[in-house]
Amino acid sequence: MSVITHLFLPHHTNNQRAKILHPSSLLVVLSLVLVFQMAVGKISYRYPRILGYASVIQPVQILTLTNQQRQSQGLPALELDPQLSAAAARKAADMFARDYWSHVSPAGTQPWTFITAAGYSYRYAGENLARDFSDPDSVVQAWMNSPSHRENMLSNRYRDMGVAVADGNLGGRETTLVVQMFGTRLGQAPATAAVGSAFTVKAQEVLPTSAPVTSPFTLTKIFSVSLLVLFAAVLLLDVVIVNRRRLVRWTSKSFAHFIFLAVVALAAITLIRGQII
Amino acid sequence: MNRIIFEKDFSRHPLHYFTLLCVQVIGLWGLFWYAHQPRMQLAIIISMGVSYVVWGIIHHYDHRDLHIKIIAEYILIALLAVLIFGTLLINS
Repeated sequence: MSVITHLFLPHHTNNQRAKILHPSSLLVVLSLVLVFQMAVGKISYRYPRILGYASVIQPVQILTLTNQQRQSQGLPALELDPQLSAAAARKAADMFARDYWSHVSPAGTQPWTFITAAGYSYRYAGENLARDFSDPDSVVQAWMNSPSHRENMLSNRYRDMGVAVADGNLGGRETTLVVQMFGTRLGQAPATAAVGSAFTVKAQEVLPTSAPVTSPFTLTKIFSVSLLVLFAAVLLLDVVIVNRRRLVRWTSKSFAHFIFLAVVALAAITLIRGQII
Repeated sequence: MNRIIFEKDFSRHPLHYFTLLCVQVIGLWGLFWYAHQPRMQLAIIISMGVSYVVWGIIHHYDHRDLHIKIIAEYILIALLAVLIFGTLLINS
């Protein structure tokens, strides 16, 4: 009990300030965070079945969810185009081969190059990219929350869509890329609004995959949020106890630390995995 | 040197704490706005940390109790927050 009091509460043994808030202790905690991150990186690299990422994303699910969004806006459904899907697959393969995460490759290759190379002569074309998501709903929702990606998904200029989902190593990390390409062929008229149009693709059964015990993100999130909440709680207790005991100290302001760490904790709690460009 | 308890400090400098809260809430809004864009989020969390240290220096300077030890405490808390959130972004 005395150790807990010494560590987390203002007491005469810690000069009326929780030991964990002392600069020396903060340095120790900083070191622990670094060690933890290095350990997570090593374990996820050596034992991906224990600490790794698993994604269950089928291209057809992306199409279905995209069309659901379009139909909710009174737009016609897009059709899955094999040539656009082939272009998306080549783009994903190129990103892994050249190790980049961008719409334009380091060699300057534009997305449209892949579309044309796949034999799809376009009048309009667009591309959305996502990585590190574990399920299709999160991917589509992230795109819908981004104005530029949302514009692509809900554009009435497009009639076709191609999707590729590919696993590989990007920047030294195992990841899942989702490439979504939109297009309207030369000579085709852009899509017009049509309420209640049918889906063109039926949902497919999602095959079960062997998932790791947990992901590095989940583990890091539990660790990070716990640490931030612990510090915020200790600081709040510090403010209350010091004020109640009318203690006079010459230190930094615990209430200010509390505001700052509480805001960061809130951001950490609500952080969701996955990147889009 | 002016050593005062929290109640007096808060009532004497409500604007200081209000400014701190506003800056951090704007940062939080930025982190939400740039969800799924880790580079932007990293830039925002670093800015939040820097602005926090600057706030601490101004606040204690105004109190006339600014000391290198106090600045170090603000820097360490800011570093801790940035490091914790940064590791989360790396794995996101």
